[in-house]
Amino acid sequence: MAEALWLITAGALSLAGMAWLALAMEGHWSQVMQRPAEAAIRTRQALRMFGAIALPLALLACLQADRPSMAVLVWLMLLAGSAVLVAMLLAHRPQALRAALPLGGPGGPGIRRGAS
Amino acid sequence: MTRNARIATPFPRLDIGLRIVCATLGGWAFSWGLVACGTAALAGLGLSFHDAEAAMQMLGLLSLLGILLWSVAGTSAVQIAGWLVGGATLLNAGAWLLQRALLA
Amino acid sequence: MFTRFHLSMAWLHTWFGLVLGYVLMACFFFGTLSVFDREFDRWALPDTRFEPQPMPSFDKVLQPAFAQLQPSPVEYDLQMPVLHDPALGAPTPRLQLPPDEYWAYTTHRDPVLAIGAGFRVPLAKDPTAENHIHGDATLDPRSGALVRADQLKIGSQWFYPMHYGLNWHWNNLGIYIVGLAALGMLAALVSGVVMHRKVFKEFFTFRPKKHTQRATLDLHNLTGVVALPFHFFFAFTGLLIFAGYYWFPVSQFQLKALHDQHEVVEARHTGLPHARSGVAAPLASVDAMVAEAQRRWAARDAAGQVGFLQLHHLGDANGYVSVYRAGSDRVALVGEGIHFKASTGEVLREDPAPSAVGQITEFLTGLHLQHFKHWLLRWLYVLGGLLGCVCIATGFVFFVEKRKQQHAKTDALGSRLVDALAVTTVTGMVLAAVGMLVANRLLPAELANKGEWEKWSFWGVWLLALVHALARSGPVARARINPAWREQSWALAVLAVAAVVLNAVTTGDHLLKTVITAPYWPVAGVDLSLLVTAGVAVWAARHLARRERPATAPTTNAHPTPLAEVAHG
Repeated sequence: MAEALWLITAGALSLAGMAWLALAMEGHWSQVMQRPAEAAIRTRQALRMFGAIALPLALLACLQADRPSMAVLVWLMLLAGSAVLVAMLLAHRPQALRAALPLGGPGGPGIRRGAS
Repeated sequence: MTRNARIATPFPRLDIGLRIVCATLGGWAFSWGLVACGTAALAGLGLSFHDAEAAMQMLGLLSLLGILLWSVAGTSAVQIAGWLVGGATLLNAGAWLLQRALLA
Repeated sequence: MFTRFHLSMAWLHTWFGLVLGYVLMACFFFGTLSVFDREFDRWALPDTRFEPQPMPSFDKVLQPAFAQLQPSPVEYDLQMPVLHDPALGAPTPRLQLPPDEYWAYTTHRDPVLAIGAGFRVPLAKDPTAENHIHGDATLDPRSGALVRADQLKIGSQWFYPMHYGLNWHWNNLGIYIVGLAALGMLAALVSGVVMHRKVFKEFFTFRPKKHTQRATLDLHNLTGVVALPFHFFFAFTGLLIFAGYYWFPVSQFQLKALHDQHEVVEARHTGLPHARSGVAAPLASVDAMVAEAQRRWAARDAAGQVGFLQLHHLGDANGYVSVYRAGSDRVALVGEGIHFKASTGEVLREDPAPSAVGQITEFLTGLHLQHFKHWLLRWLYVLGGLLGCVCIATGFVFFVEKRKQQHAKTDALGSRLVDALAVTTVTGMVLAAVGMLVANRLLPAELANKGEWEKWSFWGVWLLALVHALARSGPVARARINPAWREQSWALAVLAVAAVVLNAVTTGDHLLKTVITAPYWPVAGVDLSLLVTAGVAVWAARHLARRERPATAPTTNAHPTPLAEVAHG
């Protein structure tokens, strides 16, 4: 049971990390947020940092679930799967990735409503 | 890929053919020699035969890959062929000599 | 040949990729199926649909089963002339060859287990060599009965060998071709990275709405880059597994003398006799030895099941029994071998931890051969394999699409051939696999040589797919899509559903039973995967139908200067 929970955590961290790294990129930010990327440089830098931290944290979670030799393999494959999932969302349902942003953050959707 | 990016060779089909032979058979002969010579050398240096063989198999595969890339990217197909034939001969001979020395 | 490195890499990627890609499709697709090879075996052989069993008792179950094994007639005819020395006497009849070695192998996924024997040639040309002629069987450990020999294990005896040897045994040519393809894969990965300049910028890029060339290239790059470690390591470790025997067999050639000397030295060092003594001796209780092995593993904090059991030099005073632990909880395969003197049961040796090189090799081969118990990782491997298939398939599609307009004006035949072969290796190959499963359910269970009939069905369906793809390839010459893609997708959907229905009808193990009332995941997993395959096939068929319609279909070159946009990099 504990193993399953750690693996789910690893999966979630991996997916979040990939989503944040994707959103940190100019093209994908504008694609998802429907707003110019230049206006959100701070947010995107923060996202890149969180993404860069989430991926190694996912490895730590994998190491709690399995022996190191297996954990590394699980981690690499989770990264691949997460990247593909994020790419498919960007291609077909980009708005779904807004869920990856913390609510009420500086780039949050609520603040700019009505602004041109 | 535009035509004028190619370097003019007198016999382009032969050139490509030679490179493919180098990339496959040439690389194989050379790498086989490398594995034989390296295994004998490592065994001579004290590694167990199985460990020596296993380590060299891995390097041998990387050698195959490297030679494949070099055969396609290198400047002169004839030079590459020369190096591979020469190298394969030396390495295989080296392996045989090393074995004789180790078993003497 | 080219002015710049990146151009030569592009040439390499395109042409080695194209030629070897057809073989690589087979490797990746059947490799993916091989992750669940034993589950396909359960589906194909309904008599083996029970829970995985631990290694049974040697004394009560295995020994009587081994006594029933015989040397393979085919191998006998082939090997006797090679091994037997006629100067010493007449060739020993097949059924009188004395057994020299027994082995039994099981994993956490096996209800039935594999057993085998090595029979020695008494009057051999080279008495120091192994001189074995083999006989294998499959055993039901609950009853000790041998499973019928002519029933084909579609997973482990067809899909699995397909992926490393194309089931083409003539002089092992299939294995060498796959080896060359694997080397080509490594080269394609390296050259692909060199060509794809925007590796990080386009890491998540996939633009399906753009025209075919751009969308296809995006998907090719995505699936290639995202699972790059997987693709590289599977090709590399696959090559490594066969390296000592097929690519660099130095132990059998240049360094045979050194290798043989090492065997003798090692036998002295380990205390495990290299050859028979010629003195007869009885066999002590192997069950007691297994129990002792398990006790020692538990004492080392590594309690486990027996994965592999091997008896050497049967009936001889030098005989010994090796008990290996199944590596279900780790990447390395079997390990922690403990060796016992056969006549007394005393421990001769406990294998020490492997050397550094040994550990690396065990890890690399183990990650490919996957005997570990980790369902998530297995399914992630399936994902990796499928990503590899998509990468190769999109490579073909990109090649054809990029040259379609050009070839429509000049060389229609080349484009048509490449496209038809692509159809055959993508949809055609899946059709052959599913068709084989359908044949397995349609052919009566009592049919003699049922396995051979199933193999013929496989090749027959694949050949039909090729003929169909060639016959329908006309539109490619006019820069349109070959309708065979769509038609074979529909055929696949129908066959996949038929396979599930036939399983339910012929065995009674329908999905409601295998998922809910009496869960049996090996069969449920195959049925569900077949249904998902049918779903994907229907989606693909309809997607292709939309693209084929002239009014709404984006043509392959919708832009005035398409080549500039899809230049590699």
